Amino acid sequence: MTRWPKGAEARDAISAIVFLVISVVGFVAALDFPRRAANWPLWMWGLLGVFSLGLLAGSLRPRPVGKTEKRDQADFMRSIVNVVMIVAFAVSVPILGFFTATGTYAIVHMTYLGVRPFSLVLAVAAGGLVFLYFFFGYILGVPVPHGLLY
Amino acid sequence: MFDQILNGAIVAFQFQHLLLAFGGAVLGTLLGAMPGISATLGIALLVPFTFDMSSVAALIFLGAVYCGAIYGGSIAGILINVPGTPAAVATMLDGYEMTKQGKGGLALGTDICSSFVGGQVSTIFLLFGAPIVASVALEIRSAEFFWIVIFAMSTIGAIGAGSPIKGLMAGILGLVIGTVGMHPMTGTLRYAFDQPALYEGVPVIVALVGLFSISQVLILAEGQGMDTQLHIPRIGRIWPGWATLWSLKGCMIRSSLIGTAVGVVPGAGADIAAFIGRSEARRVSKTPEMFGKGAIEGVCSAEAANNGVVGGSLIPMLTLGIPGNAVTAALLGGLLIHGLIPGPHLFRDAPDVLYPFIFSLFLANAFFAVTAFGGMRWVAKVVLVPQGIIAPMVTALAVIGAYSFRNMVFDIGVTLVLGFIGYILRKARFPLAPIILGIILGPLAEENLDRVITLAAAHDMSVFGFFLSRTLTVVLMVMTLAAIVYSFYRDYKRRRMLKEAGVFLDEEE
Repeated sequence: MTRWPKGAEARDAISAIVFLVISVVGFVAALDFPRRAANWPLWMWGLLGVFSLGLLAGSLRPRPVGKTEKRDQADFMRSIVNVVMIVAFAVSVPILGFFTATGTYAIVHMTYLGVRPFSLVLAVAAGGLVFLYFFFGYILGVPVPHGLLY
Repeated sequence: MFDQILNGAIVAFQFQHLLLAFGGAVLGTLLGAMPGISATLGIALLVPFTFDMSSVAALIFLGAVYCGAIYGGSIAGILINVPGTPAAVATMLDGYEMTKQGKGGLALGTDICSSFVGGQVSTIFLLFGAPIVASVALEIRSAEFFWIVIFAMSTIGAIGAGSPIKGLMAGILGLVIGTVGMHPMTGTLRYAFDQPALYEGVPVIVALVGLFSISQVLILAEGQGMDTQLHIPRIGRIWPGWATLWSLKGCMIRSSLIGTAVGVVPGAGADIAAFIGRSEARRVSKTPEMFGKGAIEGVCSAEAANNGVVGGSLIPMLTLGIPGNAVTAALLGGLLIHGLIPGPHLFRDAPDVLYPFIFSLFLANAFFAVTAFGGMRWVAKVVLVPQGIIAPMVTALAVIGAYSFRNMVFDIGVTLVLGFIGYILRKARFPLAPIILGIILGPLAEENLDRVITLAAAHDMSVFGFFLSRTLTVVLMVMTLAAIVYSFYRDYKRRRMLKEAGVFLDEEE
């Protein structure tokens, strides 16, 4: 069984390293800016780097192992599927059009998340679409993205 | 000033504004009552609904949502032991115990009255205190303003719950994101990746929606989508009675004042106020042993304090342009969209917008109280809305909200990227509020620092020497250092205490 994160220390160490790498990249990129425009970002990236080192040092200190958030592979996959669904929805908005994409996404995601019965899923999706159309399309007149379909 | 207050009252009482305050208070209460929807998320999702409104109407609506959501968060905590907002955790400790004892109605009634009093007391302070602070703030110059922002960022990062180093890192990350786009003095493009949509930086609303909505959707989607075991217990009579309310008057007023004071401090939000209010009530109580076992003062103090934060937190936001917490950052986003730049000049330049807004908060507090007393039977049902329904609906609102700001599909992408980053950071126990505050305050800090650099050069001084030559700046520098040192000391003490108690890091987080 895979556990992620393995513990507070590992989590903090990984966070610190990621932040450190980002701050180095950001710092180096800022060196290309004219001096006046570079001042503030250089200070900020530098500070972020220093704090990252502080977090890394703190994470290397031995600590008693407490109860950690246990995430098995199924939990991890569930998070990945949720992310994929949201990305797919966002990508489909300009292709299918906002209302079609939203209706499809809402039905699929609610079903995946275990909302039952299916008639409830359909009713909520339809109600949500009517609400969005009424407010954004009709009252506010926001030009929602239209695609191949409505 | 009194003419402006009177005019503000007249505008706030116009029919359409009354309707908006009522609608906002009801919507805020319902959103706050839904587990997983915080006041910040509620406002972030509703800001796009105000694009077409006048600035007065938009502020009245969003202010009412704020009041309603802070109150509404306690309903789920009291009824099903799931706090609707982080601020409701303190209320839940005694509120749910009362529900288990068959006194849910009394808890809900006390909750409504205390929230109402807390909200009204803090609005009085906002009404009379903010113009005074604004007039003093007009005298503040760039060097002082820069250090006020740095002080605010250091307290926001360090005071909040959790690790101070992570809070500070989150704040700096926000400041760094705030550098994206064109440098105002030189016109240099920074971290824009050749994307014209980023030339003016990351829009606050887009960042707000992404960080708070999408990350929350992913958190909600982790859990059980539909819990059929949840049910609302019998709550009985809600009105607590005049005698009960009279016996709680001291607790209500004291906690309201605590909430207002805590709200003014950057970084200390409604959750911290609620716990301070509750612990103070426990300290002065004749029956402190009852706290945690269904003490009515526990509900009263926590609720009066967390609603007291509303008015208090708006003082630095409106007068200095410094949002002290994530909710006021969301509100600030709403102000910016309507062309209002919060800061010392706002009270001078836009009193016709601000006073109706402040006055409408009195009305919003009254509206949520009336709605709650009159319609608790229906409001309570909202707490049972499955997370499997909330999550996709929030995603849809977030996507359309991000798009509608500039009608750009690119902004949907920015929202998602920030949302996923927010989710990962939350999993790594980094707070999100400092990031959004950094995005807002970063350009403000840099702009003032640029002015200081120019001034220092004109005086043939180093920047640091220029800072040291001004008394108020030195005071602010010392306060910033003290805030950071104190937060690390507090964290060290807390860890030691927890270690001695046998509670380890991840358990208490």
